[in-house]
Amino acid sequence: MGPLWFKKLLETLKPEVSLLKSDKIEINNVHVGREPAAPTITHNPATGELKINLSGMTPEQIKATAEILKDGFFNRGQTFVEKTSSDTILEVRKVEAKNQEILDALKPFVSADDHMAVRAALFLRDEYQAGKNVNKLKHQMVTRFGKRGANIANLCSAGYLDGVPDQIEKARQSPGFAEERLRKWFDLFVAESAFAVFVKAEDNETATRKFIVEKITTNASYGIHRLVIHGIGKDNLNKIRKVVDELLATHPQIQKQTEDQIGEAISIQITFTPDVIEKLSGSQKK
Amino acid sequence: MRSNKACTTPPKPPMLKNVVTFDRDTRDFVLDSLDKAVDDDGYIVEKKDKTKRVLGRDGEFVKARDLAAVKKGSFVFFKSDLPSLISLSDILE
Repeated sequence: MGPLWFKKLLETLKPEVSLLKSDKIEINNVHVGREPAAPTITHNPATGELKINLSGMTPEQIKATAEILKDGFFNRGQTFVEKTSSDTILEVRKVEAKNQEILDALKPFVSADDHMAVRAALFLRDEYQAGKNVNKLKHQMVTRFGKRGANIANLCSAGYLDGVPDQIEKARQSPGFAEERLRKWFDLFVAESAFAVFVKAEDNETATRKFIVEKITTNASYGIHRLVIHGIGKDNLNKIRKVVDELLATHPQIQKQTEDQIGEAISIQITFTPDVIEKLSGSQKK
Repeated sequence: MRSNKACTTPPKPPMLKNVVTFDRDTRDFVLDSLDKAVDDDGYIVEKKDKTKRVLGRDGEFVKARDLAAVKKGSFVFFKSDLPSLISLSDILE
């Protein structure tokens, strides 16, 4: 921060001589607060924070401080940030530092809005894991990013974004890699997440079949006649192909619409007719 | 082939630098020093024309209780919702 601006501030507030006389005082930011019985001005050498306490000031000092703040804003480009917001920004930065790999991996392939939604979703997940109520944050995400924001928040909370950096790296190394395909993959990943299942590595073929059949039945019973099946990793890829091929062969009510493989990530879109529920329940009983 | 490392974002410092932070109970003082006031409905207005409400970055009026930051450029008001704070984080040191 500009030393002259602070000198003016310090002189106005008449702090202790030692503080005023020190030329090497390092000031990173200024905080304005009200703390009864605290000194008018204090400096923390460890953080470089200069605290101004309005409580201890005379009306003249308050007026002079307001003038100096005004000068700082208009002539020196100071930004004024409310303290809880400043604390939240620092927390957001900590969460982003922990998840830098995900953010960097996604940045070239997603829109600026989606990237910001991922950043917000990572913070929301962190708050949730710390036991905090995140309803307000979720609402803010939906207000700003719509249904897509809610989908990204859900994908993130369920841990599906954690595997993305590895997946993108594998996709880059695969022959015929094109960035456009990754873009489309992420777009579908988010847009269809409400109608999607994500096959887990720990589930065997039987559990995967059961999981997919249950999701088809649930979707069909609510008038949703589509499903996207996602999986990451060679084992999941083989498992999903096998289960889907078997369902397609035994149930003409189910049709495959698209199959997209990027590296070791697979996404298969299927559609089905309403009578699939009856047929599937019959085949489950057998 | 572009490497992931090429787009690595440098980490932000663990504290905000070159800003003036303020407690909620000094908000009106800060606004007053910037020639702003708060109207009866809780919106931030111009001190010289209290019928004129300020606009936030999202183009909407700003309630004083939702204020996160004010930045010069004439006056850029940031609200305290999470996406706005992330945008603010990007432009602060």
